[in-house]
Amino acid sequence: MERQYSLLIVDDDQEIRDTYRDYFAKRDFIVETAADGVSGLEKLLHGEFDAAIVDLRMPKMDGLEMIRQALADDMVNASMIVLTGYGDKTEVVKALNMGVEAWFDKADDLDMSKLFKRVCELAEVIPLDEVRRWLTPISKKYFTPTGK
Amino acid sequence: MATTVAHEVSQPVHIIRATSSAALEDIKDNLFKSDEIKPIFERIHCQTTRLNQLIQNLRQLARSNKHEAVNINQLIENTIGSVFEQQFKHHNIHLIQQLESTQSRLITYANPFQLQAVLSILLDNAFHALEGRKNACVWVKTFSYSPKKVGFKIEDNGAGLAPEYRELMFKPFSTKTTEPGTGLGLYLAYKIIEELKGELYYEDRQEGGARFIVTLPEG
Repeated sequence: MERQYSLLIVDDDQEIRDTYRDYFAKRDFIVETAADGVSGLEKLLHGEFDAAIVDLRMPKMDGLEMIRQALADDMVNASMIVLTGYGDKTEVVKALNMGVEAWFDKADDLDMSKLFKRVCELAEVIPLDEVRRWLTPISKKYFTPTGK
Repeated sequence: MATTVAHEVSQPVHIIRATSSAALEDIKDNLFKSDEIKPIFERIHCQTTRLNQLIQNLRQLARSNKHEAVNINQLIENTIGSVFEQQFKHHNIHLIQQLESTQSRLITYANPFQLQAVLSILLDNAFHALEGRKNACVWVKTFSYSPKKVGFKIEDNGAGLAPEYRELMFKPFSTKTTEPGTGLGLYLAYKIIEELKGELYYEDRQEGGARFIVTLPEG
């Protein structure tokens, strides 16, 4: 059986959180939501998520700052996807430079099937440190020097 | 200002787009349930109302070239009477108006809708600062002083503003962590007053609480 992906949705608008949560939950995602950058960061740091969809403009802490703190020192493995509005192109560049892997324009070309496809692609990527964790015992078993 | 407006428009457009796109995908994937139709239409209807309201507000703001003589006392009485009086009373917040004598010339030349928006933002902030507090009071005062300045103050006996928040308070999306709202109100208010060649600033109340002061050129 394929594993269930876990997704965090960080947006200050309740309607958006509900719409995205319902859409992804129907497609077997485990979904959590946060209404601002502060609680989003809290959840990212203490939970295990494959991906996070993050709005850029939010009260308390904006999306960019949340992502910056989350990705600092490789504390969070979740793939980041940002949602932008009109005139946020500068922020998109900043976000991509921080390590964000995809961005979608809320009002211009938002298509749920495209978003879903991208989230799935990013969620199924296994983080490098997890790969290392799996490989370490195997490599120890088969590749340990004999000491001759 | 344009970026702020664009953001305000993009939110409801985003909700409508996401809701309809999700519903279409659900239908395509046989995941759509019949009891979801009503909430979806309600959500879309609610967002079109929000857009409509936004367009009306923009129309009012667009009339900013049509400035007229505004009596500040009258504007305050109308705004408080139409919206805030009941709201404050309902939450046990004592609203005290200390309006300067009508003998004074408390007239400025402005778009009354813009001034009303500023007043509403400041009163709304005071309301949220006091919600749930005992002996909560808001004072609305008007004043005039030479040379040729008029204005109003909104004071409250809440917690006041933390020092680290003061530098950012007139910047967009700098909402204090304990406050609700989008973080645009004070920014918009500041921009409006700036365009009217006036000033909006903050000071602590000596007795505790916040004081916002608006000064405008006499009309």
